[in-house]
Amino acid sequence: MGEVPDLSKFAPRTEVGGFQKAPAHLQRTARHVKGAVFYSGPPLPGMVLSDGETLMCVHGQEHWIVVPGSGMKRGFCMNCNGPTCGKPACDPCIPWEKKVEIREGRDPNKTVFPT
Amino acid sequence: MGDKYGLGARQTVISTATIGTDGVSELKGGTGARLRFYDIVMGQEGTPPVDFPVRWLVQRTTAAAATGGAVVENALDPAAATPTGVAVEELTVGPTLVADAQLLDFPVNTRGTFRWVAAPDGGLVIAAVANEGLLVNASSVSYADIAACTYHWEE
Repeated sequence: MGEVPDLSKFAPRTEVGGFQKAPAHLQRTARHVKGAVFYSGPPLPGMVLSDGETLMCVHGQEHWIVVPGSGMKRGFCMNCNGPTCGKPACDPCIPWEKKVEIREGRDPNKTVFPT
Repeated sequence: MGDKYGLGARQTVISTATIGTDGVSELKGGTGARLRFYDIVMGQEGTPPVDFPVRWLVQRTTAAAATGGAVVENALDPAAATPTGVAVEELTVGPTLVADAQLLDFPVNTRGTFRWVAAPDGGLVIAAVANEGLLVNASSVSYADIAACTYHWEE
């Protein structure tokens, strides 16, 4: 058996100025953030958020604050490759850009929104 | 990138009424261009300062513009054209809301100030259709005083 290679040189550096973990206020909660919120003032009872990031529903354009571990059930559209708000109205895949075109009467297929 | 516009709006007495019967402000688009709502700062000015939640809601609207006070749409670039978007404040008659179209919905402490700003591709788009717009509404079960906001949009 040969010597075990020394892999410590590939370990993340932790000294100041090296590649250390970002401080909490700079850590991201979502990969493709669509908005940010900032709160200034005393918190409501039970409130833990002072600032955060929002995601946008790819079908309805609703924004929500990302709170990891909140238990809120959202969806994900594999066609649009983005999150949905979780409301049943946004379950069918109609991208929000398509909905805008339909409202403007520019959809060549004359699509009708599902009721 | 289009021209950017902004305005400030207030409602002197917010209510607990059903969403859509009054409001802080409504921004209406037109057939000239799509509007992209990308920034809003909201807060409360009333006294005494107490810790009550105020629900701020931005929801899509259709039909004719709601009645309300005139407000000036200011171009952030003085050389910009006259905006397509038209806004009113202190709504006394609510607009027609699009069901299940709440785009922003945040509770805010009466003693706090809250800001939402969109990423470059995250703004709320108003279609280029006459009378389509967004309602900015504040409501509270315990606070019936002034609510104010400032918002920006792009055309």
